[in-house]
Amino acid sequence: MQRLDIDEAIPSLVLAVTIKDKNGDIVLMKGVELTEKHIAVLRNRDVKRLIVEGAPLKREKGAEEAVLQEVDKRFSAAGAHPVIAKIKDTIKGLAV
Amino acid sequence: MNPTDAHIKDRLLNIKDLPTIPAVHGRILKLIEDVNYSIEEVSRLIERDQVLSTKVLKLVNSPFYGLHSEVAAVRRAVVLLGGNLIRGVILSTALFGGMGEKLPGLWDHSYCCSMVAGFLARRFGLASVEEIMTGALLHDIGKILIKQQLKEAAVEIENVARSGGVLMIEAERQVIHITHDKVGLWLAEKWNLPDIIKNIIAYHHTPGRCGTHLKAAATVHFSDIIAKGIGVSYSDDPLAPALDEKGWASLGVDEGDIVDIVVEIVDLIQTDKMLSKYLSGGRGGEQKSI
Ligand SMILES: [Fe+2]
Ligand SMILES: [Fe+2]
Repeated sequence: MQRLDIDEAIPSLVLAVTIKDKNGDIVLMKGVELTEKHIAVLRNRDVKRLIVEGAPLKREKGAEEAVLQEVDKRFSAAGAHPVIAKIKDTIKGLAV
Repeated sequence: MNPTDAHIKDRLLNIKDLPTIPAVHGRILKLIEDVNYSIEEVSRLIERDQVLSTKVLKLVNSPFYGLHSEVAAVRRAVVLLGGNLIRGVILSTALFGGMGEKLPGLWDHSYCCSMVAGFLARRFGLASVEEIMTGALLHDIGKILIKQQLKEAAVEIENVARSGGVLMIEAERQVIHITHDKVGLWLAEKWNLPDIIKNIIAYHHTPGRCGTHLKAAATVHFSDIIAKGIGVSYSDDPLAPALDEKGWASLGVDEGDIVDIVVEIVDLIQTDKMLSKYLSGGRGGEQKSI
């Protein structure tokens, strides 16, 4: 999971979270595979960021690693329950 | 309760060391004991106190409240928050008063848990949202009391937690054989807080053992995990606790909703004046990373 700026969005990425606009109205549902047309719609509705499956974008290595390790450390005593894993992965996905 | 427990309880609740509640705050507490308290009267007293007014307005203007326009009037804040939350603010103000800087991050952590718990309680359709928020605001008060009343032990607890990579509650168990959830309950009993708030404080680490207010305690437990996971925590106790499975199950939350829930909470924190600092600047300075 990764959070992108709208300028980083490209076709074929899959939305991990439903996108709503400022009024809370749904723009695109999670699971949708982005097309050029979708991206144009997002821009039109003034959506600035989106969260997609996987980690399609490589960020600067050093800073990214440090942040992810910090999150891992916070969860080091929290066990391996799938709910914990999901919370951790989401926070990591938003962090980089 | 064994003799050592009773002894530690005496020391922890030793009245002359407990933070004093200013007269005006005391009058407000008296007023709101009656559920039909006069909003006018309570608001007027709060307005006389700059610190309290500011706190109350900050709380109600958090993006977690989702109000569309800024609340500037104390009276409206009183209506929106409710008596229990105001009581929570007054009591935590008294407790944190002299101790705040000795417990860096704990106020923010408590505030964050309160906001997240309110958000979750509404989302899960629970009754008693206000009481759940109040319980979350006060859930770690036992830590303050331990730090204040058992100074040497508190230092040792911090060392054990840090060097052992364990939660503070585990270190407390090792060093003083009593944990902050139980200590918090004693204080809540002394203050005569409603049962639901007492149970939240007492069971925020073990909601599965809580009978009557299982869901309320589980909501605060879950909020605690999320707040710590995001990094809004007391600096000596930064580790997220393990999930209490029975508490989690009681909430009936679809695991598929977790991503959405966490994303929404992070977004709210990002726009919360008091909490956004925990999401340190990432790419390009403007984009925040956790
Ligand atoms: Fe705790
Ligand atoms: Fe906590």
